[in-house]
Amino acid sequence: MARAGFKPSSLFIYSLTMASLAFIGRSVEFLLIPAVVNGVLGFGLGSRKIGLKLLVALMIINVWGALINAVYFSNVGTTLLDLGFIKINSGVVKAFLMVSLRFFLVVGSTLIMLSLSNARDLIKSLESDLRIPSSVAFSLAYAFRLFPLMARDFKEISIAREERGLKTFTLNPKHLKTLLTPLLSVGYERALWAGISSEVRGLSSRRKVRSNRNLSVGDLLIFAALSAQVLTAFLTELTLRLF
Amino acid sequence: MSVGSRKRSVRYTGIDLALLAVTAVVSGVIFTANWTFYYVIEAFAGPIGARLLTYGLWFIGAPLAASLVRKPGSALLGEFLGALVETLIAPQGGITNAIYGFAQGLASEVGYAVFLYRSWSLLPTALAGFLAGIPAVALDAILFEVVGTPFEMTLWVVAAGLSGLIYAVIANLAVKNLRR
Repeated sequence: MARAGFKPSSLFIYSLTMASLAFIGRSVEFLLIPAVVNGVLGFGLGSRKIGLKLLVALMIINVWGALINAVYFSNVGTTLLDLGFIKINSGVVKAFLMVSLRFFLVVGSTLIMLSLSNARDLIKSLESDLRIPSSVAFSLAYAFRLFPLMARDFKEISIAREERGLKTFTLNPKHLKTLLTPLLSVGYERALWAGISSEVRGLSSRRKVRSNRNLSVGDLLIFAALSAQVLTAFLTELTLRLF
Repeated sequence: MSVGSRKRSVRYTGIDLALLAVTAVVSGVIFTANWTFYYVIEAFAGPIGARLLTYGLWFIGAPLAASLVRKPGSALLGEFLGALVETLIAPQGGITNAIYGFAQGLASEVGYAVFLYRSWSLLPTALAGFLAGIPAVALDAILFEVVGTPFEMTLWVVAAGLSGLIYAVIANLAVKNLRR
């Protein structure tokens, strides 16, 4: 946790505030600066940890989604482009810009959080600093412990399905049940014994971990960056409205 | 909880928490995969088709957890934890996933609360799945500018709700098979 000199919970607060800013923002000017700052930083840091190819694929999917949504839901105003089969109006450009800026703001800030901390430290920090219920922290921590095990289960189920001439992965409602049932069945057995084991080892009487650590310079820098971006967003909006 | 008491215990044991973790992993992975399906289907089937076919998969954490754990709050925790896992494994949607998960989980919880947490059968599960569609469409309007006429909005809520209902029933049946 002390690796980077700041608490992962500070990064969580940063990311959550940025997401709230994306919800509040109703104009391109309001979102522009925080979106560019978080987008550039987040994608820069994220490419080292998550991989550039995955991030580019993510960006293409989201930009495509924003464009489809804008054409479907906001195709109003003056006509900018007439393609014959479809007219692109000014509303599409504004809606596309708004949604794309929100995407860069939200995903960028989440990437900053994920790149500068890892899931386990983040969960620990959320419990000790932000005092999230220990039940939530335990479930989340156990979920991450389960990932490799359930990935192995999924592979085995996929092999069994393939041998029976079924698709290995499907979101078709009809087939989803046949995939969910064995996956849950194995997970259920494992969870049952893991739960019993944790109770035997005194999960219920476990003392809550509380951190008394003061904010470090790193934490203060995160909060300063957060405040600066929030202020800039509101001041830009105010300035444009006044002049 | 005393034997024979009608009042159900709300204390979560280690087993309940471990079961919630299982549903969080399953639903977190489904939530992540569903983004691509949603955008592809929306391009071909339009907003109503996309909502009908894919939205329910984003609400599946609540009925899955509630059918498995059967305790007050399990629907909210199941959906919220699934959304948190989604946020931490893939940045698509970012931390807003957690906000969606909390709102959808809360709406699904109402479905079980209406029945005073006495029934975990198909009816409350279907209601829980349906109700999750309301906050999903509302949050889409705020965040993704997906706003239509009141008639269109009603259609989207109904489509998202029906999708939630279908997948909630599937989740309930999958868990029922498991409990046999």
